[in-house]
Amino acid sequence: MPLVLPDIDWLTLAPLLVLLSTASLAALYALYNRSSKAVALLALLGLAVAAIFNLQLFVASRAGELRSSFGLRYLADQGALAFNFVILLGAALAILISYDYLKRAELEQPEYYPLMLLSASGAMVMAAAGDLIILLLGLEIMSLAVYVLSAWRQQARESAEAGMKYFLLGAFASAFLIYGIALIYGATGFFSYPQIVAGLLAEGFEQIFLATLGGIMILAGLGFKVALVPFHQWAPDVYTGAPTPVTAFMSVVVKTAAFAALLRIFAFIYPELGVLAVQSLVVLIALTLIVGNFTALVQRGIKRMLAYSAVAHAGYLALAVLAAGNLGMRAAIWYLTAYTLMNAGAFAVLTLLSDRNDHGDDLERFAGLARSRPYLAAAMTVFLLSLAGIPLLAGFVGKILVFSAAIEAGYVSLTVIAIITSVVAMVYYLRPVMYMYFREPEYEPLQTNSRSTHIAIGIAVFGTVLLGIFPGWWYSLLDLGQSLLAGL
Amino acid sequence: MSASFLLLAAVLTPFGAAILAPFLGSSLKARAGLLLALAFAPALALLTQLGPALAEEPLSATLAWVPAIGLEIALRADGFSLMFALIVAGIGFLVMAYATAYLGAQERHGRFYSYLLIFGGAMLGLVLADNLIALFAFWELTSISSFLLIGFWDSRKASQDGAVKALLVTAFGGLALLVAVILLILAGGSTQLSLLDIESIRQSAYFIPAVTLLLLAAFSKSAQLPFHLWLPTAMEAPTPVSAYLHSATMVKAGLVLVAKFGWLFADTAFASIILYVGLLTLFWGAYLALRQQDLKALLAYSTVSQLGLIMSLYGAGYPLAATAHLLNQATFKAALFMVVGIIDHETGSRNLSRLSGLWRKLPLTFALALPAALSMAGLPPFGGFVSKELFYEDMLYKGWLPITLAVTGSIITFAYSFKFLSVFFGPLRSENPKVHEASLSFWWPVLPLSLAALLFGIYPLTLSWFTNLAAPGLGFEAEPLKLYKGLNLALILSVLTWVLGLALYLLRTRFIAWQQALTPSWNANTVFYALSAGLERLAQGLTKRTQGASFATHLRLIWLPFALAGLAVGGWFLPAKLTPVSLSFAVAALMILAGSLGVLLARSRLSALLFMGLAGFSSVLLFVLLRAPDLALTQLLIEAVTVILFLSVFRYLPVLKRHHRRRSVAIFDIILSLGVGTTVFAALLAVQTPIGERIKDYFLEFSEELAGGSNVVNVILVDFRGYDTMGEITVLALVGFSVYALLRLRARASSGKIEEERPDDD
Repeated sequence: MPLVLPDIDWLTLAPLLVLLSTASLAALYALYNRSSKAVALLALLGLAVAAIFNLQLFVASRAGELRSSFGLRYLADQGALAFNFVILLGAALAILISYDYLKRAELEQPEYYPLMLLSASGAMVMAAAGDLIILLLGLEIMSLAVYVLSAWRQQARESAEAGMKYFLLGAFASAFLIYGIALIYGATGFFSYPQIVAGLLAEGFEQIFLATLGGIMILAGLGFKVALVPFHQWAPDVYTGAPTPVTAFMSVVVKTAAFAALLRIFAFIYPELGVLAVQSLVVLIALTLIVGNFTALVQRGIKRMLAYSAVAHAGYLALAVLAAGNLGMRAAIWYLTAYTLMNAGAFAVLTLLSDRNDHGDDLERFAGLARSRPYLAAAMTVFLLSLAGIPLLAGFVGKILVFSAAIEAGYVSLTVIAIITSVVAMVYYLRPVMYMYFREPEYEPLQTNSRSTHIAIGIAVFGTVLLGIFPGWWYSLLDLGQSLLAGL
Repeated sequence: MSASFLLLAAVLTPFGAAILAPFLGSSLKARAGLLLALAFAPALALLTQLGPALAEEPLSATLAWVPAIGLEIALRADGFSLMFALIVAGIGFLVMAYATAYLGAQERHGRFYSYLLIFGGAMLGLVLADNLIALFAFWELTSISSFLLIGFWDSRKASQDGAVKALLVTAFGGLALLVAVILLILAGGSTQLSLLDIESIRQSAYFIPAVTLLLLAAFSKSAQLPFHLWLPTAMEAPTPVSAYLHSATMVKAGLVLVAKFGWLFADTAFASIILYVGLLTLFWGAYLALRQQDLKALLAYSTVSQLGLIMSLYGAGYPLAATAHLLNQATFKAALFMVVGIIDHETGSRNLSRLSGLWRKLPLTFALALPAALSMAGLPPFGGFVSKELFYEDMLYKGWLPITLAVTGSIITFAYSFKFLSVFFGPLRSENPKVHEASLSFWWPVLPLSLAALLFGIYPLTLSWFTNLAAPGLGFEAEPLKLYKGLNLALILSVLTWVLGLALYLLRTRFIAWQQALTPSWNANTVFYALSAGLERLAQGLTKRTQGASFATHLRLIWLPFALAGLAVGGWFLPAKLTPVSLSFAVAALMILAGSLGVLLARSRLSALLFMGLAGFSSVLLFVLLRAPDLALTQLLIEAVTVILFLSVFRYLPVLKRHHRRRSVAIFDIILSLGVGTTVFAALLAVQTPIGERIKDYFLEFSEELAGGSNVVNVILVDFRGYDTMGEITVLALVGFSVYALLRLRARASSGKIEEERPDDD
């Protein structure tokens, strides 16, 4: 009897294992030594080492070599590796923002950093998953840590509420996802993507309805994580209630991972499902673009506005998912890179402007900031204009890439909705800029400074501008003869 | 090589200078403008490239941006682009020089010049761009720099309002342009404007939406009806900005677009739409201009009107006349704006009702204003007359309605031009009694523009030469322009225009009173404000509906589609697949059901817990009946642990509160849960496909041989699917760690350290 042992390519697992072992090491260290400086540095080091391994894999995969583990269930293709870079970048920025913030808010607990690393490793598993079970594992690893992180401000009601809400709705999302996986398994008998596709295409396959229902439920489950309307209900409350660095982490890393998974599923399985599955995503995108942008318009608090803007950006990103071939994949990776920089940057600025309970982020507090804190105001302006999609900044190129991918895939009217809602978005992104530059200050601004946060802001500004002016290099790195997704 | 380099330098140098401007501005103050104006030198040096441009082998240059999707800064200096670039650079140079005298010592010079140079670079990029995406990017950049310049005096409420309005309208147009550009690229098969396949665009289904959006963009940028509303309020900008952006260059971007894409809508219904929108704008702008008391507002509406004139000519396919008037308008209007700046600066007012007889005190300014204003009125021997004759000739071909609108508009134009000049006549009145003539640095930049207005008329070959530069680019036959072409219908109409215009000027007070009586209660501005208020209301309504709903409502919303799916297909799997059930199964199932219902209906937490236990232990029974002792055991343990955990935290929980819900809601919820149940049931039935059969035998056969274990379940867990188990354990470890972290946090939070500090926050 042939017994096929699962193949393990340790190098493909290396970035993941580095993060996991750094997290364990940091957690152990934290047991005996409560200094969070050492733990934070260790976490950053872990991210850097993981990035080096990832780079090595990336170079190998650009040479046309496909590496994977567990029989194509854990993939190290171009797509997964590029997403890994984005995830590592997002996690690094979040940790940099966190360090002084936690001290200031008296939330310093060394366990914070291992949890963030664990969450990032879950995100990497999701990006690499070529199998629904692996995807679920990754999702749980990623989410569990974030549930705790979002409730980190134990003494504040809204943070505890954020954690609880996120946990409950996240559990629902997992339930949806698991049901969807079960349905697809029931219909085809397989978990791994190529086998599912083979099952769907097999002669005499009758369970197409079941599989479609499963696909829609997977979409719903991941839709929760990326906050697509109507699964976005948790997002504003959780984003507002969680400590700001955690919000930054959630809005970039969690979103990146969920989109990575969604893109892969969409590229492989969705084309073979009933048309209902694709149509339901179209409806979700339209709702997300409209509700996200319009509700952001009336928010007075910047943090809450950014929460809704994160919802709206999920809509733009999902446009790229619709075009889930190579073009959409590249557009999505590019957009997520830009988004990670500008969104994490905006939250980083916010941590320096709000008090230690994350209050005081009202629009009025931004009045006259250009005079009192010119550098911070300039950085915030860069991020907001980039989020609004103004030319010569990263967000603009991202939008162009996503829109052209969606139009290429034939979703012209949806793209038009996206463009019209971008005009609405322009209003709420420019409003804080106007307050900063055109108004007399009403409050004495906080003079909070933090070296690590400044580094994060610097990286984000540099990246946003660099990618905006020279978008080509990163895009062409994602460009090679073969497909970004293995097997596509 | 060096020529292409010059082209790139023409566009990029202003941007580079914009970076230097803040530094120069803080040291050199206003004088920095003279130095920075040199940034337009490379663009002016493009004059050396006239030869190739006219020979239809235009100079081109490419700077790769994102080559993978055809995103690059491709520039192409065909005749038309080159001519327009010269306008942008020439007037830009003069405006920078003018601003040195205009700006007070206290202004933020660096920032002003920086914005102005960004605009200049963007505008040069816009007219020279051959790549459509780059064209869009430069287009948006002009909108943004215009926004920054209008709002330059940021403490004024009106500036902010004007800046925002201009940005919203033009950014809306910009996004329309983006869609249009993408559609054109898709339909035309190239990102290069010069390589677009005209025929396939015309055949394509995208043709109508693309052109419609293109026109929306052009109309909003060039302030055509009904988008003209932003231009008058944009006059809150410093006057050099008004002269440069809002009369000479940026507002002509829409015209550039229509001119460059002329081949696309020639001979289609769109040509007539452009013609009539232009003519109506010509009439309406002039009509509104006549009643203005603010000199700058008068010029603003006049600009709207003149843009309409040029737009109608480009739309109707008369690029020669259009380009000639475009040149005239750029020169005389920029000159007039600068004159207004001087008047404002010297007298402290721009209000017509408070100023008159200024020629006595400002003779030089008057001399500069006269040719420009008469050119605007369309009188010989000034440039405006030459192009207005062409306009009449062309409109005569178009039928009675166009020529009527053209003549009516021109009559009012004549009247308001004289109204403008009336500040110089009559008895001397001024806010500031010590009026004196402007300094040299203030008036010299106006001189070339005024001279051009005169020169274009008395020596029309100059105008002709400039206009015909555009001939190869726009595809028309170069022909010489003349001041006098013999007695023809157009000339008669011109004479009629002067006579009626003079009469209107003399009767203007009565006419304006009549205009005021006729003013409707709504106009483009009220519609704009109503729209923005409506948007705000819509957003608020949407937010109210989607935000802050109760948790239960969230859940209802989320489960609804799920339940609907189940209700729709519930019966699908039912008939064929049900097998008979033994009595013991039925009893266990009923007990689970009873337990679940009991949890829902329980009045205290303890009873709810008991019911939950009932459901749980019944499922243990079910596993026993299915002869799965290990599962039963596991379930039993879980149930026991759950009950113990619940009991141990009971004392921390608040009293159970029952939330009352309306009967309709309750019924809805029951239906919803039935639907969800059906879906789950259907899914369960569907998973009954015989997968178990496929793998069962393998495990049974090989678990002993390969893994050395006789307990198949254990072997599967730790061996056959060992990696899965490892993954699960990882998750479990993570849960443990998370709980540990939470407990530590909890301990710290309740240690009182933070509680003590709380009063400080209040």
